[in-house]
Amino acid sequence: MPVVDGMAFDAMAQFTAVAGDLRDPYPDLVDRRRDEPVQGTLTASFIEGLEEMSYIVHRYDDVVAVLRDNVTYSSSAIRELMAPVMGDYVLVGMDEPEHKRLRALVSVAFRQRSLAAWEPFAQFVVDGYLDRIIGKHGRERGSAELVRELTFPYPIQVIARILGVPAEDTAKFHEWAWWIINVAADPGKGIPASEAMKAYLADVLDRRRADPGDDVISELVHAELDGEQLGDEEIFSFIRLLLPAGAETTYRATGNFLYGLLTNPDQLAALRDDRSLMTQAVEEAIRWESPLLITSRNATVDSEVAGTLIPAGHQVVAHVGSANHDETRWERPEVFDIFREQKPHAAFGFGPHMCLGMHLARMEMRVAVGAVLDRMPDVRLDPAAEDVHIHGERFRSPTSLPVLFG
Amino acid sequence: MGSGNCAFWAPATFDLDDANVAFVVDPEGDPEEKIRNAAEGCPTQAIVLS
Repeated sequence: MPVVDGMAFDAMAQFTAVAGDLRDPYPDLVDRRRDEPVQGTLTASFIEGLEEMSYIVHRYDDVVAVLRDNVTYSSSAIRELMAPVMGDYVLVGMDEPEHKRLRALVSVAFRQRSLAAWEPFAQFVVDGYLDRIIGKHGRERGSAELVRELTFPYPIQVIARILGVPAEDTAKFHEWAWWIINVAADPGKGIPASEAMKAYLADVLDRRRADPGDDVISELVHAELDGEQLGDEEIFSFIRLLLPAGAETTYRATGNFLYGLLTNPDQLAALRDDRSLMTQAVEEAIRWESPLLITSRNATVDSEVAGTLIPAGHQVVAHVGSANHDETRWERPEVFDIFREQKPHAAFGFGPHMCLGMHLARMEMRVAVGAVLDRMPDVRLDPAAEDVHIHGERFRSPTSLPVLFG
Repeated sequence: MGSGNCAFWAPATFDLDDANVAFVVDPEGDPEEKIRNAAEGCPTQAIVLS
C-alpha cells in the first residue's frame, strides 16, 4: 500500500480559518456555566442581512438532555449546514425514523468487534509512518513533527480502507474531505470538493457492484432497504459524511492526546510503563480537549432549559466542550489527568446520533499513541520549539507537535 | 440503536448480538461503578438499573 508522504496539501496553512482563532475558550465557559448556562446570541440567518437568536447550552446535564431529545431538538440544523456538500441523505442531518433505518446499514461495520479486524491494518499504517521518522535518523537521536508526519496523514488511510476507497487515491480524497467538512469556513472550496468527490465515487460504486470486496461501499451498493437497493445519491451521502468525519476528528483527537501526554511527562511515563491505563487515558484526552466543541439542533417546539425559554424555530447549540469541563461533574476539569475517576463524557454526543465512529476513533488513538510510546524512546516536546499549543474555536488540536526522541 | 457504548464501559456485562442489539451477558459481570457508567453512557437511556 502506498503511504502518503506527509501531508498531501498544506492543511495547516488553513488551520485558523477553518478551526477558528481562539487559544483557550475554557475560562469564558466557566463564567457561562455559572452565570448564563443558556446564552442567547444573535447569529447570521440564512436570509442575508437578517440576524436571528440562537441559544448555546453549556452545562453537562442540559447538553446531554438536548442531544437525547431528538423530537424537541431536530437535526435539521445540521442538514441545512451539510446537505450542500454531503447531500440530502446525510445521516447527521436526519430525524427519526429515517435516520435509524439508514444508520442500521452501516452500524455493524463500526461496532467494536468489526473494527478489531481492522486494528492490524491501523497498526501497519502507523508503523509505516514511524518507519519513515525513525529511518531518517538511524540509531542517532531523532526529531519529528508528529502532526505532519503521523497524526494528520494517518486516520484517512484507515477510514478510506474501511470504506473501500482505493489506497492510491487517498491523497486526493484527503484534500476533498478537508474542504467538505470545513464548508462553513469556505463554501467556495467545499462545494467544488464535494462535486469532485461525487464524480470520482460514481466510478468506485460501479466497480464495487461488479466486484464486491470487504468494504463498506461494497455493502452499501448491495444493501436493501424495504426490498429496494439504495440509490447512488444515498450512497454518495454516506461516503461524503463518513470519509471526512473519519479523517478529521480523529487526527485532532490523536494530536490532543499526544499533547496532553507530552506536556505531562509523568503521565506519559506512567502510560508507557502500564498500558492497561490506555483505555482511560484515551477517554480523558477526548474529555479534556474534545476535537469538536459544538453541535447544533433546531427547536421544533417551545422548551425550557435551565430556566431559559427557547422558542420553537430557533437554533440550539449544544456546547459539548463546555459540558466536558462542567465542574459539577469533574474536579479541576481543566487538568489533563489520566488517573481521574472514569465516567461518560459528551464528546461523542448522545441520543440517536451518537458518534458512529467512536469505537474506531478510540482504536486509532490507542494504536497511534501505543506505537509512539513503543518505538520512540524518551519522546518529549522539543524544548527549542516555541509556543506549542492546542488551538481552535469550533475544532481543536495542536497545529504542530515538534518532538525529540532517543 | 446499537451504539455499543455499554459494551465499552462494562464489557463483561453487556454485548451486542448479530443484529447489533445490546443484551446482558452477566448482570454482575463488572463492578457496580462500570455498570453505572454503561447506563449513563447509553445514548438512548435504554439501560435501567434496579
